[in-house]
Amino acid sequence: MAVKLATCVAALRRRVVAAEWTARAGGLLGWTIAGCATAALLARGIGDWQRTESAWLFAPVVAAPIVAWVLARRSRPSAAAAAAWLDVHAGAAGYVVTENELGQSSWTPRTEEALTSALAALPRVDVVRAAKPVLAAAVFAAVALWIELPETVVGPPQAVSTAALERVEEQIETLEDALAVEPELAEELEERLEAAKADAEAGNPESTFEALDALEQRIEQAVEHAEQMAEQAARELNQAATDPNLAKAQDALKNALSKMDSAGLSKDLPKSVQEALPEGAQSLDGEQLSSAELAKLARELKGGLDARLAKLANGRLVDASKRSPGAHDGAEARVTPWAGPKFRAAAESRADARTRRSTSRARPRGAPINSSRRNCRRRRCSTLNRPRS
Amino acid sequence: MTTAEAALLAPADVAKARASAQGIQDGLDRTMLGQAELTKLVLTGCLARGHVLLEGLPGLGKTELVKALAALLGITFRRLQFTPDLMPGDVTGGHVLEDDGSGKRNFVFHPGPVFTNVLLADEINRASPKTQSALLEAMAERRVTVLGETRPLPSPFFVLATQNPIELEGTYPLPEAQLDRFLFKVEVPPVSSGTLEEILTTRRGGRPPEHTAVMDAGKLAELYRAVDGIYLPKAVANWIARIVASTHPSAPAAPEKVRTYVKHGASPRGAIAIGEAARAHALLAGKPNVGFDDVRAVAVPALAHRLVLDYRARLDGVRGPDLVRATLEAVPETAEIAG
Repeated sequence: MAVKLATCVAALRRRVVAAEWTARAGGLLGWTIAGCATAALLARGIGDWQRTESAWLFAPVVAAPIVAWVLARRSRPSAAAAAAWLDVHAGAAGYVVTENELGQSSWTPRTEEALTSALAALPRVDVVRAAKPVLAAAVFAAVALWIELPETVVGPPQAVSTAALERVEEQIETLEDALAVEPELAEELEERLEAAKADAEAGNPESTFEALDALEQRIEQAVEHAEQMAEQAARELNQAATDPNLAKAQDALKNALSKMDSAGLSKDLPKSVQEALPEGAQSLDGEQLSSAELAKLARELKGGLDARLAKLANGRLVDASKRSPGAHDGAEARVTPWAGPKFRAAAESRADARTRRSTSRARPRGAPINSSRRNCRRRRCSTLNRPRS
Repeated sequence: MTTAEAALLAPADVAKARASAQGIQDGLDRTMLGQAELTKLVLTGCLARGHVLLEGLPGLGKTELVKALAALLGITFRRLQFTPDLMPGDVTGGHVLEDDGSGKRNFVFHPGPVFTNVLLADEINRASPKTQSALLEAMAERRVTVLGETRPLPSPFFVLATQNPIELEGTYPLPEAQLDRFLFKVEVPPVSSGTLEEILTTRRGGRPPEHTAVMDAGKLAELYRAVDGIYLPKAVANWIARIVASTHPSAPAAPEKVRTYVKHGASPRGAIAIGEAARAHALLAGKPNVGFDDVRAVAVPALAHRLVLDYRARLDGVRGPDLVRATLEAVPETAEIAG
């Protein structure tokens, strides 16, 4: 079968580009995949990227065959070079190059005869050789994407910030459980806690701890205020229980109630007090109680106050060790066991707790910090049953 | 008629020329038993209208080869034995004072042995450089100038010189300028025992067979025209040019051997010699064009004697043909194609 020179030249040029593209694409793809896999591995290991995010790093792989094609096109031989190649490889004794330069002649059958063998000698497209680096790189990429990496610790471990978050969350819960927290304060604490959680989830330990410190300071302020009010209220209650002047005693009781109310300490008062003073301090307006009634109310209010403070102490918001069980014996000691420098001691205790962060409980990676916190506002609203002026 | 038809010889013309050349080849092969390669190169050189330098030991049949060629071509042949006392005038001829019969004496030019179609310059390296130089103009320009008068040599004219690589005492190596005039320098190899046996059994006293002319000057001129009609493709010419350029040690494409051992590469005359010789070689192969194979066949005898070698080549036993072969290997016929 006669083989035309133009057909052979075109076939050779195509084959050269194909062979060149295969060889270049193999190498280029291999290196690109390997490079992307390394980047993905580093991103997952150091940057804490997810698998799906790391997979985007393989985008340059798409460009590799295109670049290889552009480079391969450059090596496309000219028609003269292709004819010379065919002449040499077919042993055409110059017939091919002559026909390429002069066109067809009576010697063309000789050219076509020679070209028949040239077609069999066209450059081979070595797919296997090109596939080897690609396969090796693909295996590496698969390993880089799917291998489970040990958690990389950069800065304090995430467990530390998680434990700190949980601890502050518990403090807020204790505060809200012990006191009738103002809605504005509750809102502020909630927002700050959410911000700290967001920082922790974003992997910003510095921001997390800054937010937590600010939050703790705010809690401490609220507790300190409650302690001061409790101290003053206890003094007033003591006076109410012991003052022989019933008017003064009743005023003292009224003051104590208003101080407790202002610090949120009037939460969950005993039932007898709620029945006797349904509107709080206002119930005492225009009605003089007897000394027995005053003493009883003062005692019950004192009991409620102690219960509030005990809750704060249980939540380690105040120093429980300095609340003497015998404080109830003496009037002064009974009502101010936790007053004054005790708050400072409690604050020191909290600072010690901060230094023990590393030993705190760790939350499993990826688990929500505390979903129960979302219900806090609902619970808090239900506990804010005290009358508002 | 297409461009190709106009540029290429017709198959019938090529076949006819090849048959004529084959007649000469057969005759030469009958004289030189077992030396087909040699006879083909000599005939190639002859058809390329070039001068051939035959180098070989005494008794290998160099002189008989030249005599046979002249006899087969049917053209005039002169033999000139070069000796140290040979004078330039003995080659070119000279003026002799003669009486014209009327008592008047004139200087009459008596042509020397160079005025012939085929000149056998036997043992050319035994003549003095002065005498060797007398051949320069004749070989290069095919004319002779004596006492300011230039005379053309008969056409065709070519010199077939021989030289002996041994017994170098009292010889004068040919200068590079003279060597460059030779199209080919062909080494005559020793014959095999089988060939010797054939010589012994078929030739009494070693006398070669008598030859009758297979062509005349007119047919030879036709043969030359056929050689001139052989097409040299640009791709092949490009390869020849790159080969010759690469024989220079300063050339970027020069192989390492050339850089080490060659002092001066081949001249442009070398490239022309390859082109012409390749044309003749293609005709002998029955082709209308030169191919890469023709170039490969004639490159060594056409280029080896044109390289001026370094002293290190002599020390390491590297010769011109080795360097030309290294160059042929180093210079690809065409641009490299992967795969």
